[in-house]
Amino acid sequence: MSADPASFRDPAGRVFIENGRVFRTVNEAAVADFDYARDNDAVRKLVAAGGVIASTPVAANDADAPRVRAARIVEHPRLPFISYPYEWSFPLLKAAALHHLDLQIALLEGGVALSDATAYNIQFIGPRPIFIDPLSFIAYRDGDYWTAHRQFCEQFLNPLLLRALLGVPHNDWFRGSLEGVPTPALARLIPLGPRLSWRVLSQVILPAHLQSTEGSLGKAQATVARPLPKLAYLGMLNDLRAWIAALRPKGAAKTTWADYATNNSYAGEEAGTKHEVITRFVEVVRPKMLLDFGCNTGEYSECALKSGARSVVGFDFDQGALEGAYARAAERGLEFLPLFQDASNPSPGQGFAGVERADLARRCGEARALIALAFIHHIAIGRNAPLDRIVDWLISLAPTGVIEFVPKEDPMVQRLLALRKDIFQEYALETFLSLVARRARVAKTVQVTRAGRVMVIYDRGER
Amino acid sequence: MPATMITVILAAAAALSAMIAPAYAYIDPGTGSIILQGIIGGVAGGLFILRTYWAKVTAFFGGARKAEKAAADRGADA
Repeated sequence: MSADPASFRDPAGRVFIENGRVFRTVNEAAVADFDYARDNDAVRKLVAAGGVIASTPVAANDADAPRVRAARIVEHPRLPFISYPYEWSFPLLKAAALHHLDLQIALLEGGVALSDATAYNIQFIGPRPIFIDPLSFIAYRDGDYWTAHRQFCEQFLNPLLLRALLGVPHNDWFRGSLEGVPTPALARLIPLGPRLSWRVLSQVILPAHLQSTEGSLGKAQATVARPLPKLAYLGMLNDLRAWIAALRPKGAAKTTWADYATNNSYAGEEAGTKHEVITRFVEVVRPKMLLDFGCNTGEYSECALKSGARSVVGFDFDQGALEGAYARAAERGLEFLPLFQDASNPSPGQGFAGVERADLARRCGEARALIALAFIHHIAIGRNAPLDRIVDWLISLAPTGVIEFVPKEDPMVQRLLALRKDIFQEYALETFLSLVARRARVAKTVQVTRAGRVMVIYDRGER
Repeated sequence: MPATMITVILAAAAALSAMIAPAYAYIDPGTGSIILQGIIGGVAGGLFILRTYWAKVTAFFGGARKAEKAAADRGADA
């Protein structure tokens, strides 16, 4: 048994996954802080409220528990899905940032500090953030500095500012730079107007400048020798909280799909048929987890949840759609997590040794069903992906699902072809159906529009 | 006896120096972030002192005014 590939940075302990159970070991050197936080009232309250993951002591004779030297071994409940900050939309990253700050503010009063501020320590259950690493909790001593301040800025504040000040989504940058957006890089990009604001000046421009000045190491060493007043620490946390809470994406209304649900080519009857097909499909399968490819603002994710899916993870590449989907999930309390994903370039395995952050397919193992409505033409026609490999990929991700085929005659496909040569001879319903039939049973086909949109239910027969 | 005394003093000194030693974490805080916090800490400390003095000043005048008002109230009662 070896530790999870992402569990190596903090020497305080390791995470092990065995038989679908999640264990955490605590090393001798970290046991004092671990016990201190475990018995701390502020921590207990946060665990009870669901903001911090629960830790249950593991029995000595537990057969699944890791057989390694450890001072403590605890078990955590397994989360429905692991997502990464480069897959979060602006509101998800913002919710994660506020969650981190709220934790720190509540804990500092209770005498607990956080040893790090990595965004990967926050996960989502539906749209609700949860902090998953109790080994980050350490005893706070009056005068201590916020040692993870820079990490907080690089992994939360800077990516949010990138979108709020410059209108650039953080996802591509964060995926390329797994530790977030470096402060000096952001400092170079910020235009003069926002540069003059006190907050930008103090949290971005000044730290970037201070870091690069000569003799900064000596100055920093001299600084940490003086205590940081708790009042100043709390003031900084509260000010960051107020700032982040007020951040909005710049130019949010202008993305392609933001108002797709009201501005698309479907007639009401077609939407009705789609709802009906999804409802019946989900009522039969009752999946613990369903994936929704091209989830848009989550209309059909919500339909699936109402029909008996326990949780839905949605994917879309449009920021406006994802923001709408987040609002739907948060406002209606749905177990729905809408994530950024470009289907023609899904999240790869990456990080240290190429495996630290798992690729998308590896994290979809719990999915029991999928839906992909008005989806495949975007990658088949829009991105020239071969139809047979699209079918391979989708069917490999869940044992059963509903895939909508949108024919060339459809106005949406016509729009994709408007300014280019039609090189897609294989793109036809018959070909699609035969490709599906080679990999799974075609359980049902339902025509959705007169122009020829068809919903195809496949079943690999593995339930 | 003196040897034990010295041990006690040394232990106390060790404990004291441990208490004021900076708490380093497993991640590098970065020099920019630390110097910034030093500045913020200084400003906050300064503001705190100012606020304390200001509170004393307002208490002095406010207290004087309250005393006057109380005297006036007493006069009205009489």
